[in-house]
Amino acid sequence: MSKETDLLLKKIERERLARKQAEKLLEEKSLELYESNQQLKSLNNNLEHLVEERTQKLFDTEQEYYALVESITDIICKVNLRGEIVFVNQIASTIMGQSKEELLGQRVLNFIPRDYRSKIFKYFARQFLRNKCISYFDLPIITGQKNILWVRVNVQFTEDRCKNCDLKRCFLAGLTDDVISSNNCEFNEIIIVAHNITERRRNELEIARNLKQQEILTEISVNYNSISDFESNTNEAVRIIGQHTGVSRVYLFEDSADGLSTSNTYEWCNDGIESQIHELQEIPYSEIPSWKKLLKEEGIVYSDKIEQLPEDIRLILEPQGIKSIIVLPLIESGNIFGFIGFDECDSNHQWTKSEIELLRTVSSTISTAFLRHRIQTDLVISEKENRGIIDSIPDEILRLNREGTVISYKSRCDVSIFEKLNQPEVNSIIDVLSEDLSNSFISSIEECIVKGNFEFNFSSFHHDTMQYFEARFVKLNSTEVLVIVRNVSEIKENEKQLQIAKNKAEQASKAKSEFLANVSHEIRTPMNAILGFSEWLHSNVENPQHKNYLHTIMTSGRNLLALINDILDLSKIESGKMNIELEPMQCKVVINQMKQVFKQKLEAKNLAFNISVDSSVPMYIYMDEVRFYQILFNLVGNAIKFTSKGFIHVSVSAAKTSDPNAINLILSVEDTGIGIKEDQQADVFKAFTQQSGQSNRYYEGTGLGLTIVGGLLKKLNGEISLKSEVGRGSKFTIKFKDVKIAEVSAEEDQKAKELNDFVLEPCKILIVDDLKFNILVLKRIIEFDNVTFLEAESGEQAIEIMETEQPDIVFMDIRMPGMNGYDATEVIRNNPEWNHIPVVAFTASIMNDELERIHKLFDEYLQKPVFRKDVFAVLKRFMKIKYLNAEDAQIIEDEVKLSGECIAALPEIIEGLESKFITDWKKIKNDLIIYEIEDFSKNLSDFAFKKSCIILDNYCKDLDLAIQSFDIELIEKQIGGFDKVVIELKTYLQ
Amino acid sequence: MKGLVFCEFLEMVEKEFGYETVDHIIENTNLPSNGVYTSVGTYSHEEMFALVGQLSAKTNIPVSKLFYAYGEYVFGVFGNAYKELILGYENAFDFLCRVEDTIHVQVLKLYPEAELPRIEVKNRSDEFLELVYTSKRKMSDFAEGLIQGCMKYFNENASISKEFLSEDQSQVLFTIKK
Repeated sequence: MSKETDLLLKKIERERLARKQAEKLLEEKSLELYESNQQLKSLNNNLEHLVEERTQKLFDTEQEYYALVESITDIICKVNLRGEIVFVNQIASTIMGQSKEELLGQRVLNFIPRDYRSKIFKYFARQFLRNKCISYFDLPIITGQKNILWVRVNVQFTEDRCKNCDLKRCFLAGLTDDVISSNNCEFNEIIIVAHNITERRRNELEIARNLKQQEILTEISVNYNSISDFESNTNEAVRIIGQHTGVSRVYLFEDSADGLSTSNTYEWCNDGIESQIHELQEIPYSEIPSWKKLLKEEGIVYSDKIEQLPEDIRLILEPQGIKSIIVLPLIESGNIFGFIGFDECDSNHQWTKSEIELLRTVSSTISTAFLRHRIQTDLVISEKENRGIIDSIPDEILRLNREGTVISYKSRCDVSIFEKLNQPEVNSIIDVLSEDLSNSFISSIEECIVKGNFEFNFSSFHHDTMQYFEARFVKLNSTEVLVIVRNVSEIKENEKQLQIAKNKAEQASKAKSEFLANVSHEIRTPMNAILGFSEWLHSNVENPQHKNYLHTIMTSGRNLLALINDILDLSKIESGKMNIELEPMQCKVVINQMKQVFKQKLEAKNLAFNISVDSSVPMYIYMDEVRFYQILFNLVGNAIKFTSKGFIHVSVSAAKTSDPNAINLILSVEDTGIGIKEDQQADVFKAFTQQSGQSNRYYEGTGLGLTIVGGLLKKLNGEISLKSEVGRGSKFTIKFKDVKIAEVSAEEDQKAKELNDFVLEPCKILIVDDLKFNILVLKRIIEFDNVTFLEAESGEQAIEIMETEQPDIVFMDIRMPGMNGYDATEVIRNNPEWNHIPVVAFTASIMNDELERIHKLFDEYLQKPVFRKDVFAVLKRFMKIKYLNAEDAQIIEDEVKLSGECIAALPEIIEGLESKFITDWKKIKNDLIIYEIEDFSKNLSDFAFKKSCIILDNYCKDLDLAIQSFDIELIEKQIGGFDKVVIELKTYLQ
Repeated sequence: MKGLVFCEFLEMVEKEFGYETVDHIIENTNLPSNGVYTSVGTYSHEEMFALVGQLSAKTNIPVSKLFYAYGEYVFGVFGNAYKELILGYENAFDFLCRVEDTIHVQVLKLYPEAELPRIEVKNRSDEFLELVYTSKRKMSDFAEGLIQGCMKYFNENASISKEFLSEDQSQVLFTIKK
């Protein structure tokens, strides 16, 4: 192969390689290109999409703006530089009353009244040159219907970049052609926004007008408050309103008193208008019937053309040359008393609503002024009248301040304690009255200022006589009072005389009652002799005629005695000597006694006697047992007396009261007797009254029973009522009000039962008393086997005994000669060995001032005469005791019936009885002379007490009861049983 | 360095010295491309220096002269290949003044990886032009040839003087006088 060929081959090979390399490169490049192209394509797509989106958004925004522009209530328009409208929103078309098409292309200045145009230009030019974007100008515009609307306008340029552009200045100066011909100005449109303020402007004007009206009203009101007289004030008011309204004539009419006619009393006429006041006097309403009707029903007579008014009104107005009219009533307390009118003679005045309202208010103001004027006139008259009254009354009237300074003083009295006030230099009550009295006045003034009023009475020496006064204080304000002083000396003197007379009368009445009481007692004594001897004679006389006489004497005597007893009770009640003692009482027991007391009479008349006690009745109540018994005795006695067949029913029940510890006790006594006529029922409680026609002989009695019951009930807070039917019977019901329940009753009851259910442990009891008799009594009560009694008759002796023998308890009398009970007890208290020993005071009478000392010094006290239950209570409290069972208790009770001491003294007792009392008894037992029996009973009772003999004591009590009730049969029975008592006592000797 | 420069260089060598010389310098130079060049490829400028050095050895012509000759030659090639780039210029100075801000900008658009010298205009009048060449390649001879080629292209005569502004010849002041 040649060298060239070789080279050529090499070249070709290199070129082939280069071509391959190039192709490879190209391929890579074209691949790159392809990819780039793809990327470009997708970018392009994205771009297109983006553009589309943005376009849509733009469209939407545009739509929104459009909607906004169209929905806004303001006019929005665009104006080109020639001032022609190129865009306008829908509302503009509505407001302007022209279609959009009509508005477009019109010059905007055509809508603005000529005289406003340059003003607007100047204003906005100023604002723009200050670069103010938003500034408003209020101006009127003319609508398509040639109406004027007020709008508030804001003008903006669409392009703000040429703020300082001269062209803008040109435009603002109105040189629009220069602007348009220049092609390098960047703004070409103006936006105008106009807000309709017509309504607001109207309101503002209305407010201004109202303010003006307010001023008028104020002027009128102030005018009325001026000091001038009412007439000139009213004339002024009429002038003010006339000038304000500018009408031809304003006038006031006032009705006559009967309201049938009316007269012109005030008038104001504008320039050139004739006065009418003299022609318009006493116009009868009958001539203008519609006038009053309209005022009353419509509250106004009004027409801008009087032809429209009713015929009768028109006929009277036309001759006066009136073209339009408005009349409003003057009203006082709902009644029309006149009217105010406004005439227009020149034109047909159209009154606006607010003008009418003003006139209405004016009419009401004037009405009020009239009313006030009338009240003032009335007040003056009333003041005069009052002054007349005040001037004529005899009281003295002072007006004072807190310091007592007299502001005014008025007196019609010839003689006055305030006389000095008539001297010119005296002006304070301090200078007039004594120091004490003026101080009382000053403090009364203070009191009155606090309370509103105050009264006080005082007396003062005046011209050497004591004068009495009543001062009444009335508050006027926070610093002043009115004082009305009346001289009551004469009244006082009369009262004094009356009181003296009353006291005398009361004294006389009391003396009468006391006399009666004394006389009754004195009569009883001889009555005993009369009755006693009569009875004795009656049983010993054989002659039947004498027997009959004696029977009459006895019956009359008994009646007389009963009458005396009743009179005694009644006089006690009347003279106030009847004392009530409320103690725990067992109601049931007292009622049951009735059955026993009236047993004989009930049996004799064959009457049933029922008792029912309701479970509501407490076991114990606080009641005066003696008086309760007396009341019941009278009622039951009456019931039996006036009942011949059937039954007597006594019932008792309790009703609750507001106080849980008290009841109302209701007691009723019902019978099936003769009954009481209705017209006489009220009389049964009067003294000495029996039913008319009631046979005194048949139904014996004094007629005082129910009167006594009535008197007692007053004392016991009770009231009685009666239900009765003639021939059927009567029912007396008594209500005891607020009867206290005896709360301790259960406890006391228990104590009473427990009395004997214990014995004392072995102990020593010291009894100190200067009377041996008292020591005996206490020893008889405390009768236990284990007790050792120590006895002392004085304080010294007691201390002496105690030094040798210490007692467990001391019963100490207080009043003793030598060392008394207080001193002795103090010695005991001061001795440390003794001060634990209980010391019980044991005394007959305790003054109230002593009680405290006793409580301080003693552990307890017992009052003489002592009762066993009280002594036992003390023992139980301070001593060691042992309770017994029921059987043992019974034994003690039996034993107690006759104490050991008594049994010990029994021979002595029986001897005393036989030596003295049996002899006396034999003398008196057949004679039945009451005072002898009383003496016997009294002596025996003393003897029984001294000897502590319970059997004798009980006998005396029964006998005494018989004597007190003058029950001769019972006395006879009791006195006849004395020998049996002696025999009974003798049985104890064994 | 663009393959076009290598292709035109080897073309010129073949034209002036025959393909044998082309083959000789390729065969005797250690070239990463093995002497295979395509005008659209890109190759290291070291290869150009190696080839020029080899040619200088073979022909006994100094390297600077070879670069100068090549510059002059290649401008004509560029002028034909990229007529539209030169078309807008009325004379050589106008063109030379816009090399930096127009021609090189266009070149970088086509070959973003190209590493171009900076050609700054220091002074210019109708008859006189001072250009400052700055390049790490230090190919001021090539640049001088190109300027000469440009003058030729516009049928203008001018003297080109060269002054090194730095010792390593990376910055050179060309003064062109008509």
